[in-house]
Amino acid sequence: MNVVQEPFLLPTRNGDLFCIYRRPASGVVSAQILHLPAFGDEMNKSRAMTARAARAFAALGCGVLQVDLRGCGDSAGEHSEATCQGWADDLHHAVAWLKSRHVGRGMPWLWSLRFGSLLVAALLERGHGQVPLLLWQPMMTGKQQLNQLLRQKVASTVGQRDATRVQELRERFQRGETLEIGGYSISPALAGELEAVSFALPDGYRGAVCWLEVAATTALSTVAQEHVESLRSARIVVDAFAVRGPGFWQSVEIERCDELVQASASWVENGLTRGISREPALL
Amino acid sequence: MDIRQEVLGILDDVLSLKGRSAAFRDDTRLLGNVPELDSMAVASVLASLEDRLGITVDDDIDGSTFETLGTLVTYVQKQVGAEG
Repeated sequence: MNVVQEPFLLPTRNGDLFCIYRRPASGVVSAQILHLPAFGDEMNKSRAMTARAARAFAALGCGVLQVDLRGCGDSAGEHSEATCQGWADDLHHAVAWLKSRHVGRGMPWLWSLRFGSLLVAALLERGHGQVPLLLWQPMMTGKQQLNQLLRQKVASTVGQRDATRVQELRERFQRGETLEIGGYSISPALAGELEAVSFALPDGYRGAVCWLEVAATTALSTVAQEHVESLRSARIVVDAFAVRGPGFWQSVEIERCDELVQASASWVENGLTRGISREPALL
Repeated sequence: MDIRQEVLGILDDVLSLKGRSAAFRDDTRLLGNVPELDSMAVASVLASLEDRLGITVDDDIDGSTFETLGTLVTYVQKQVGAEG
């Protein structure tokens, strides 16, 4: 199926959000997918990969929307003013745009990378119990993201006069300081949100979840296995597996992992044929 | 679990070394010597170690852990033991 790519600016009260919508050229869309991006440089490093996957999903008949959240990429706003709450609002705008594009559609499928999984809880409500979730290397707690940022800051000061420690940085956040980490301003408000936010699903969620990891082996990581088991014990059906490839969101060079795109596309295709989505809608 | 091998695999992956890590010895200097090991890479290596090995990296981690391959492997072995 040929794919059409539509870049556009989505106006919001807080400025325009840069978006790219990919869809089949035929205009017949079987399902809609919203991407929940990774944080900071991980988002930048993974742009090529998420674009590849979005094209693959569109070629299967999906309408796929990618948004630069405020303060990130080509969207309006300063990173120093960014908060998880603000990003969740941005994604609600994106959902509203998708719904207006295809009248009668409900919540789109959600496809997250890394930090993006932490925004699922803000998007899914009680009535969204059937929304399929595709999780790429998901984070389970914002603490993981915050630790990563703090360690990055510590590593950047090694051997310098301002050499610092993780604990010291936490205290600076607590005193209300905004910290510059790897070219991104992180406000104390955002740091506080990261301390608290975690991956969660609404009560009674019974959608299809696909948990994908990228690693040197095809074995799921120890940590992922534990989380997947805990979801399964809550009677949620989870397809979980690891594919071989580089950690493209963090690798020094821009890398790609075709196996991840293929595995994801197969899962989406299965979902479409099993009829997870509703009837096709015309543009 | 061969921790040294796991650490080398993660370094190779995160730093895009394309197999160069196979030549690393315990006294191979990392920080300041491997140009790919910038601050984001350090944080990514630690995150990968936590994900893959189920360890917890504590707050008092500093540059000395990344001085050589040997110091990093020793640190990880200690943490794996602590999770036991």
